Amino acid sequence: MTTFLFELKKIRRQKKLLWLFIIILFCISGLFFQNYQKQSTMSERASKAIEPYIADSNTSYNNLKAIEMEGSLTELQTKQLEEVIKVGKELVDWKAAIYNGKWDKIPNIEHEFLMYVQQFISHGGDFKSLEGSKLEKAMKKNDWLLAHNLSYADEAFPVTPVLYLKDVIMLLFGGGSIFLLLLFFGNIITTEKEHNTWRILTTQPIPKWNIIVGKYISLLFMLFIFLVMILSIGIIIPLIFGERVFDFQYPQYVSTGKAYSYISTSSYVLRACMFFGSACLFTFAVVTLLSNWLKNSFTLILSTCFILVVGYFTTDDLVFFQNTWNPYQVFHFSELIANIPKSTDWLYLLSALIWSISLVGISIIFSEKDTSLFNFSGHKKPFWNGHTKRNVRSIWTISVFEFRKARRRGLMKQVNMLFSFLIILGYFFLAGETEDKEKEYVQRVHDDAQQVEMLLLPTVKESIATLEKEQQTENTQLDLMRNTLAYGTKMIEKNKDAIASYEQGDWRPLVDYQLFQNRAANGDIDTGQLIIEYKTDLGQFSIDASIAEKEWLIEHDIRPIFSGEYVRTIFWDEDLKNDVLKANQKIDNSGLYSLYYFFENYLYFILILPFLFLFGSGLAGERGKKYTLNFLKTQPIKERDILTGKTLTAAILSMVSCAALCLLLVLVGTLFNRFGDLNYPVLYYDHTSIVESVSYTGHVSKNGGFHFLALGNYLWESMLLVFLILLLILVLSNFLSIFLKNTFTIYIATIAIFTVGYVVSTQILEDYSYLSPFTYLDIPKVVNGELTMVLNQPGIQVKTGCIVLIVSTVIVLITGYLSFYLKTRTHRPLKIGRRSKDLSNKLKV
Amino acid sequence: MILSVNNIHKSYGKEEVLKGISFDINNSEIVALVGPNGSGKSTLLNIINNLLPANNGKVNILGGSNKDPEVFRKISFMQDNTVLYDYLTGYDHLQFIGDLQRITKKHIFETAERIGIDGYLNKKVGHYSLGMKQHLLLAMALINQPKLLILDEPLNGLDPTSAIKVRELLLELAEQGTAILLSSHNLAEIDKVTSNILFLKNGVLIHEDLSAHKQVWYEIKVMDVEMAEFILSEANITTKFEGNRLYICLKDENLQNIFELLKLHNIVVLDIEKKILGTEERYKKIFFSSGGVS
Repeated sequence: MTTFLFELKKIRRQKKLLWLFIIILFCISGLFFQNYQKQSTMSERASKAIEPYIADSNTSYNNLKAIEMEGSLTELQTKQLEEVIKVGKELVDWKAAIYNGKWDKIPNIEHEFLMYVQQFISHGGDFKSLEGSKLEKAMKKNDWLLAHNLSYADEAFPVTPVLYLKDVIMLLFGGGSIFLLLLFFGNIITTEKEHNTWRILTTQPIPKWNIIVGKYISLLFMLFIFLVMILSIGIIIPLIFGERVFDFQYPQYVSTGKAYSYISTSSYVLRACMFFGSACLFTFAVVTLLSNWLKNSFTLILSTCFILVVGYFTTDDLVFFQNTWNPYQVFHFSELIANIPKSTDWLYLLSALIWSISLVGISIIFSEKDTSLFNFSGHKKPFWNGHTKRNVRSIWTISVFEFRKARRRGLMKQVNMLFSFLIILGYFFLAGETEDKEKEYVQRVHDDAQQVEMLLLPTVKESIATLEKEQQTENTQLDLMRNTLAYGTKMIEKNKDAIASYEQGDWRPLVDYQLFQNRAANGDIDTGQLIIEYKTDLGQFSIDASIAEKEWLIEHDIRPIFSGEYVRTIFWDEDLKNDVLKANQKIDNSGLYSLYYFFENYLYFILILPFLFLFGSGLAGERGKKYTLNFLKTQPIKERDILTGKTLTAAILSMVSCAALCLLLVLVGTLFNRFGDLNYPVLYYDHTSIVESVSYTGHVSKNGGFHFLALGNYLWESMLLVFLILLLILVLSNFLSIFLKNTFTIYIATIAIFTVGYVVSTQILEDYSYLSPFTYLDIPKVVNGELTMVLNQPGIQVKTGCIVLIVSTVIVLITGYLSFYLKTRTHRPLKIGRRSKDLSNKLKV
Repeated sequence: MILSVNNIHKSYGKEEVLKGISFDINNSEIVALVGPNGSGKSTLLNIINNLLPANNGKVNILGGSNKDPEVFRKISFMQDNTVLYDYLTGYDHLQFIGDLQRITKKHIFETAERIGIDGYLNKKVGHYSLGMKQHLLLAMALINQPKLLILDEPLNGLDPTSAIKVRELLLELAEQGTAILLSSHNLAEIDKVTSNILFLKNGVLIHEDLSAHKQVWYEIKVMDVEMAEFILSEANITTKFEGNRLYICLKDENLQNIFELLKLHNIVVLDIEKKILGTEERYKKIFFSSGGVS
């Protein structure tokens, strides 16, 4: 208990809880602000949601009315007409309720509407938007709302406390929060070792297990505080600024396989807390265990993340591991929360508890032994054989010194080793996925052909024969059948050729087959009765892009990447996006495409963050318990040169490491598969203003224009942006160290500046987004022009990005220099006095 | 003049720590800065080295301002061991200074050998003992052959042999012309190095040259103390009788003469112990006069 209370006191003194509170408050209020802004369009959203119902109702009504006019309405159709009229009436009421803002009336209207739709369908009517299980789901939800006397709520952008809390949980209960908790509290033991205060603790009349358990319990307490903060802020903010409706019973949809159910929002939130808490329990136990062997906080956090990531993906990949007793299973909390609650769900918590107790137990056993994972020798050979460089500028000297420090600390080596391992592991995961995708696609192509050949064509042939027997040579139906046969035959021919050639290593016929299918989808080839799957959902832009892509592949003789025939674009139908995406998600483990995958999936942030933690502390890193800054300041070198030297080394080392790790990825891909095609086409969205220009040479489609960027160029531009972003981040964090004393504060402030900057640039000041360096954090969307389309800002280009990032870096550097200049010029006694007192306290032995 | 400190004021909020400190140090001079914990010794040394800004006043080093980092080519400041990087070797520290101060590898090794740290130069500082760190700090301070050497508690953590060596080294440096300003709590050690002492009390400097007051006293143990005191007083030898102990103060007299004088009067000297009195006495007077350490 004493250890636990002591830990709490230390955490309070370090103001970590305050920072955590600020971050949570910022995230929650930011999300609320967004939802609040969208309140004005709530009616539009509610109206849009019933549009398919109105369309179905109108179609049915018009059809039935037409039949009625012809006088051929059957008894069943008469009943259908009666019901559809009632449906229409309810929809009018529904719309009126929306426009009058009478949200509490909607559940009752919906109830009536659904009843009439059900009766309409039972009389043989066709109501596509509520066919199958959709009607059943809607009725079940409506029954729930009525049973609990709840009104209609805006689920997309809620401002009521409970529904908003669910949104907050979806945002904050994830890997990011676990990382944040690790960053804040993960170093609870290693910091003691770094500062040699561990000895003070271990020389007190308390057993070591008491210290470790005390530390672990304090970590759990911090988790509790974190959850309390989220839950309370998540409720208080909408309570003050939103609607004061406590809809704890509001239904939430959950499903497992084809089965589905509704649970109350309170149960949903509680389950989310349980799963997230279980994941954190295990994470903290891993941290406690690793703290035995690692004496450095940075290495500890990095290693913990590494272990969790490897465990997560291994569990994800191997079905055998997907069970309750695997502690990594609980890290899939978003999937677990979306599942129907089971009576065995508490086993996840039990599993996490058992694992945690075991790991903490092992740490207690190991804590009794003096063990270290990285036990490097204390003896080191001098650099440059001990020679000194006497005729170089002091900035260079400090840069060299910083480089030596990085070498001696060994953290750089550890980061590179861990990332290399992660890259190799990730690569093999990617290779497995590629193989599956390839097999899946080839099988799908094969199945398509078989389906057409075995099922469709015999029927078509039979129909043609019947029609020909009837000597209806001019019949349009016969023409349609003949076209279907011609298309089907050609398709099978191309399909078989494609598969046979592909199995022999020739991919060209496969690309040809894909182009044939794309053209058929585009309507260039008459498919007769055959309907191309996804045709309408893909949209014209995607079809045009897919055709152009295949033409590029043929022209440049480039091997295709699986799976699917279509290019993924931002114009896909949102509702079917996941299905289409899965069928057309392209994965390849060639060297270049692996790197493309790395950028496209924002994995570059995983690289940037450790470099920020490793090199971003600037002068604050010299102001810790070890006040080494005074050593540097009593040398013939200016303080600004110290910072410049540090920043220079940080930038060089980070960039070199970053480039080396990217090269390693390409190398691994090349070794185990192939280098890849530098000319592989990557879709680039052209802004309307460019498309409309006379000199435009790209492809013009329905929603805009596009052209293709060679993969080599894409990678080069992405790399360039990564380097410049990394440079800006390091320069900014080092600059902050002039004013902020604590390294942790610098990291948090840097991350906060970039996060807020990105949100403000892309969501508030959209018109000026191209001038903001933060916009360019979204590298894949900048390099493929997506942001120009989404933000309607033609200025967002890689070139502009480079200029903006360089200018921003220079501005920060100049501001830093000016700060030093002002610092030496002006003295403000009171302020300096306060700073100096802290400094002096540190200096006193 | 090597160092000139002129009217330095320093406050932390409302608390004024230094109230117009002024003093000068010349070539070959060794000046000790003495004061209790929290008296502002480290603050003053930090101000001199431009590690802290003063609220008022000026510091001149070798005729120039202390604000120019180039001044550290001519002066050195030996700080406490918190300025050392645990993950670097001793040589890494010296090599960095060598790079900045344009010092050769040969000179680095010579200095290391002189201080006696050449045996563990390639070991990481994290593996050093307190004494080893002090040696390294001293080597780092001496490597540029400074004209002014400022030392903050240089004898901290040193064993007696090392302390003697350091003391001798400081005297040697002073003889060669180096001005030395050192702060220490160890009055006995200060006594052996310098008589020029700056007492820092309540933010004010009390400058004393104790060379005139420094006296060597001997505590002698004899059978008949009263008789011994009478005989010595008759011979005009300064004596002090405290408790049951007899002290004699030697000025020009030879100790041997005193033994012979006592022997002549049949007084047997049982034991004799040397006591240098001065700094401690002054310290007591300055800091205990107002009822304890300020």
